[in-house]
Amino acid sequence: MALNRRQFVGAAAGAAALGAAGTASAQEDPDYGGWFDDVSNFDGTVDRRGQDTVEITVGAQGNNGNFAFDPPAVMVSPGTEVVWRWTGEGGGHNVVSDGDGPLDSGSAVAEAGTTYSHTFEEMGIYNYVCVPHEALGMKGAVVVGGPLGGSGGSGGGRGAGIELSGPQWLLSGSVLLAFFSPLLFAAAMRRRYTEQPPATNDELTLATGPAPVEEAAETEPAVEIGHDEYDPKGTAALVAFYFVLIALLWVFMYFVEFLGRVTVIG
Amino acid sequence: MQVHRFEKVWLGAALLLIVGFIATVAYGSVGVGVAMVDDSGGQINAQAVQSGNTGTPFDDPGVVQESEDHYVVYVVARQFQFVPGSGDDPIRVPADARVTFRVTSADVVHGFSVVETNINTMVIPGQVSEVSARFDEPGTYGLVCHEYCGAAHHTMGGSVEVVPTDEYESQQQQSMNETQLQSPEVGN
Repeated sequence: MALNRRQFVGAAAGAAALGAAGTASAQEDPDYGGWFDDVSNFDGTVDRRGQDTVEITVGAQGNNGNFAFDPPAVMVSPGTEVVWRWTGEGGGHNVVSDGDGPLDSGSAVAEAGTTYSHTFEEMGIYNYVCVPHEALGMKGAVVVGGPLGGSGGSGGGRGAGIELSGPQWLLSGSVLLAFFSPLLFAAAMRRRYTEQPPATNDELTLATGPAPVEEAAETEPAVEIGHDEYDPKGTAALVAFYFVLIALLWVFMYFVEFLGRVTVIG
Repeated sequence: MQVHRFEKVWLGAALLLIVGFIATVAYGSVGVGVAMVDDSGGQINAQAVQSGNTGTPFDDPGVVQESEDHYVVYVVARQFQFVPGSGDDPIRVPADARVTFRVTSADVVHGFSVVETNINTMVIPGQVSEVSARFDEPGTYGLVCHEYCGAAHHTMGGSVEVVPTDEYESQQQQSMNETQLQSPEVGN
């Protein structure tokens, strides 16, 4: 019996998966590199290998609304046709590859029953998003072949574990320092206190400051002038300056910022 | 009551300033031709906008040349994008022409604000918001939704590209030629 193309590719993929992961039956999620961190309905990769067509629901419950693919992560054999079917919920959705990739269902549509399909031949991880709702976590991935460990359809994954960059060190260091600074201050005060011997009586009097000085005696004014004889020139200059400032601010705000811009004419 | 002559001067100046403010505002609203957003856009069925069967240009939103010097931009705002406007589909209009934005919503209340211009209106489902403007200078303006519209409101934005008139016309010609070339291929 001659193998058809699908069976042949499938068998080859199975062998490759065996070679790569050792035990293909003990499934582990491939390394998505954090792709599913903000996807609420992600619960491991659904294994649909060996099926000719696999269906994914678009606009399923998840991500605080109908903003999810179901299942978000699915593993298929090479040569499988994956069909995305719209529920019509959650507004307009589409299916577009993250970065370079083969998936592009065009602009977002909302109509229930809309379908988009793609047949995956090459092994790899194909990450995709719904462009309008990517920020909500409407993301998915199709794994073709088997657990491959990060590389694949789109950019490689990052290593696990927390890695802090320069600015992050600076920020976390500052926060820690701010948190512990009262303790450091207390320790410094304590050290200063224990270093100084107890104050004697003489020193205590010195510490209260010098004795109050007698108030200066009131003197008679040299000249007395009437209300209209005094010109507050300094105050007048200040008021004039304020007037000029306000007028300038008004000119810039009204004529430059408001009328000077592209404005509504109808 | 005795009022110093300096005080008389700056009391008078303050009154003059207030009169000046009112005069400039009156000039701005009457003399310059600044218009307000009103309900001239009319009403539309929001459900029909969502499903794309309004029978108006909102079914295939984009720029429509109304006359020699007048372009109408039909924009549908939906969670969380402007069509056209968002992503790699900016609104392209020519400079030095009257541009009318007709914006409506397919779902919830959105905002339509072209940054650094006075183009700024609410977008209400069932209502067409209509604002006209004239861009003198070519350039790229940001476009933001400034009415909270849902969880990803902060990602809802786009851009308006104003290109010189001759460039705009030649590009229109080019894209029309391209679609004519492409259509037989689509048939295959």
